[in-house]
Amino acid sequence: MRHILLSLSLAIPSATLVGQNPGQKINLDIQLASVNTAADTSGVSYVITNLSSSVEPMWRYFVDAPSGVLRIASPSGTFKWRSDTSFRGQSMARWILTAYLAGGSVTPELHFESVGVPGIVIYWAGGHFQLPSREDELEPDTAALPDPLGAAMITGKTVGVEAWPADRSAQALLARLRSLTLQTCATPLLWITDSTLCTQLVSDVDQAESYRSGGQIASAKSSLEHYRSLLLSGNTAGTVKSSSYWLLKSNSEILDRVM
Amino acid sequence: MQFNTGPTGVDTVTFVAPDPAGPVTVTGTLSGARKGLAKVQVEVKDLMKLPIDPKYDTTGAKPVHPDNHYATQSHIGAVIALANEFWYQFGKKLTFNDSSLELGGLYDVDLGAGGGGYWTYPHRGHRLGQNTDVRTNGLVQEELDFVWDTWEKYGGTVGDETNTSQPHYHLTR
Repeated sequence: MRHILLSLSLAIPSATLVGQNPGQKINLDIQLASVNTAADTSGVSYVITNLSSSVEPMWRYFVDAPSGVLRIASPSGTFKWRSDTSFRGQSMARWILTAYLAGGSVTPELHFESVGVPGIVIYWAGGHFQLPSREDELEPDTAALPDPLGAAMITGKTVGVEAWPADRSAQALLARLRSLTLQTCATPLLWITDSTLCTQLVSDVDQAESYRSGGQIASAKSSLEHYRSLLLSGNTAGTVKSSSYWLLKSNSEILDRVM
Repeated sequence: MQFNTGPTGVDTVTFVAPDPAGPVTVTGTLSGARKGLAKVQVEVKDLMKLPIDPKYDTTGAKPVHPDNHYATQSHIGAVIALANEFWYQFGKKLTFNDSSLELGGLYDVDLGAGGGGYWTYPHRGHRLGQNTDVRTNGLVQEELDFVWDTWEKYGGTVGDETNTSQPHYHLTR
């Protein structure tokens, strides 16, 4: 029974057809390819599949980047991409296909770097569609112009880069890791689907904090090492999605450097 | 219109501006008294002209409307930014057709033979300095998508008028 449930959960894509407006008729599977951290900077790479159930080809993918974009790559390969770092005054990592990604096709790695720590952020993705005619419209109140992020794109949560918290102490970062672990185990994310594993992961973080507060840094690091080994085995088993694996692994590695 | 001021000889009237912009003279007459005149300027205030720039072209000026690229400062700034980004991305110029007239108001675009005549067949928009048409002739899909995405980045909307006799994107912001 357990195996059957697991198969079903894996069949559910990470994004669904959430809207029926033009631009929203896409169904994506967004996977984290990697998250790396160095000094005060974090880099995130995504690989996106436009599932064959999509009506529209994928055109754009934006990720909120609250601390700004330090570097962003325009992938090379079969498709030509353009990248950008803001939208309507908001910092974002933006990738725009100059051709479109048909249903069933996969992007190359989309990579960006920001100063900050890996965190849970918002993404937007849009399909390509035929623009409507607007010539016969009276000029609207410009404040009421439709926002394409809400009206013509789907949205959800993914892993990105948040600004460093004001408190960068090991104690604060361990508390943050605990919170992230709980978020990824709970709805609506459910990036970890094994509740027993969730309990073990939280226990490891609590143990690390207990050792740290007692001055036993080596033991605290050992607890985090165990935490990462659980993540890896869960990822291999399919109960830990790539988003949670890379989010939690990278944040625990930052703690290794801080402690 | 006629009205009775009563014994004070004073009353208030409301002037509703017509669609076309420009100077309007309101005349008040009273039997046995001197005629009174009030000059009213009907306009959208503070529209500015799209400056000449080597990174974009303008078109659409006609003898009766030689100045057809007026818009709000915010709109003009976005048009220039779009043209600059396009220039640096593709090394090509965008060509901007009608924005608004110097004072805003109704824009009777379809003048002359085959058209409806003066002030009769306007763009419905292009009155408040928030619309500009950008020509799409000669632009490939990648360039059209760039205009679309970049204009939305600036907070605007894009309408597709490529299936008309004057193929263009209709930019609003």
